[in-house]
Amino acid sequence: MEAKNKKDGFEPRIVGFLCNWCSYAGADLAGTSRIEYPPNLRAVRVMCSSRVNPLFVLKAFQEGADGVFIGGCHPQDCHYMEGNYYARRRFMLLKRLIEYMGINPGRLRVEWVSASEGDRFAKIVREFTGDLKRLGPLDLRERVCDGI
Amino acid sequence: MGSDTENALKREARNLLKKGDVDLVLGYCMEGDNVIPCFISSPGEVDGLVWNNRCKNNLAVYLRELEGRVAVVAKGCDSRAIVELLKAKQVEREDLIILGVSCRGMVDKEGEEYGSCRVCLHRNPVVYDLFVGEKVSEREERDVDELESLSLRERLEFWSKQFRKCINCLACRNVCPMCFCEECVLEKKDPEWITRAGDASNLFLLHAIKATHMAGRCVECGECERACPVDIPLMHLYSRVCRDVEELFGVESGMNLEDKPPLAAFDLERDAMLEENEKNKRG
Ligand code: FES
Repeated sequence: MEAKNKKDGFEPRIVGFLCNWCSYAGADLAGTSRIEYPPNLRAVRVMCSSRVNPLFVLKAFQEGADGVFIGGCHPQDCHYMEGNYYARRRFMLLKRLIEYMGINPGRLRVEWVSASEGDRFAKIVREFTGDLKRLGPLDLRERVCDGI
Repeated sequence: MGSDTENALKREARNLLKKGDVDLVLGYCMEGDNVIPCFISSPGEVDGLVWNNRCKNNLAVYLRELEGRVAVVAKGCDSRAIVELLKAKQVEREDLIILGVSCRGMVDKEGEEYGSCRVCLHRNPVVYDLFVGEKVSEREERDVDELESLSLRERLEFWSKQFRKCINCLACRNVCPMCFCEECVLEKKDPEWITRAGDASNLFLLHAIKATHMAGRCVECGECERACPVDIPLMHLYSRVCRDVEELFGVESGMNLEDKPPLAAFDLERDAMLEENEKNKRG
């Protein structure tokens, strides 16, 4: 916690919602292929990117996440045919909303990662972790409650 | 003496009740010097109907609860709420007779025009069976939102300050014609997404969630803002969501019965392009 406030030692906390059929398998492949990537992302497996309610994202921010990642199948590859098309619209809108409310939209990242893209998954997590380090901690709860 | 529009409204209402075309007329009447919604079921009561610049309530909020055939007085925002209710299959078209009236902006007790009316783009009713009075001209464009010029930090400060005032009374939800879920996530106990006895971040979460639920639904009538006992400028938030939906998906809620709910639809090519654009702008 102490380190969190100093920008240098800051390790962002990322909540990642990964769809079972693509992104989760992609993350798995990154692991089994021994590709190294930062341990900052905590994966939550969901059946489809469209299972992710904007509420989950907002709740994660409230509970201390510095970034939220949503991973789904590439367009045209969703296991349920159209789930990621709905997710795409939903999160474009949510990014705009959080930006209006004062949260950097770069803290919410949506990517389509297939089961064979283990290296790409690792690269995205590396990138996102770096971005969040630059942005610093969100501390939403503290900032809302104390007005800091 | 009432205005011509008011008299015409009474005439139509009386007719409909006399002929037995409707069981109820939903309109406005006076109570002291307040204008309140009223429910008229016999021709003899029709004289109590009024139409003036204090008829601010969105009457669509009552429609789901009413039985039988109802004639409802509808200005721009009421009619748009009715369109959304029809789209969501919450009311039946054949149970409704819409008495359209045009609005010149509603004012409060002090005579000051409500914020939502000042920026209103649709004062004329969008659907109606009978139109009463005269049409008014419409503004073409949205106002610039002064909050847009604030930095992210300032915005978060602004909204935090606003939401810290919230007493979680849910008046904004209760008065909203578009909030009709049987079970509301804001009050759910298991899981309890919004901790009632929790800190102010729960209020931030509450209003952020509610804003996401307004996407593609809100008709910008401003009832939430008027109902709020602590004056949270909710319409800023919801208007922003409406504008985003319009910009991104080209849909304005309440305007067209044929429009699909924008978040339950997609357009492959266009959405892919949008995604690219948004990514460049917002990461
Ligand atoms: S199953 Fe992967 S996005 Fe729908």
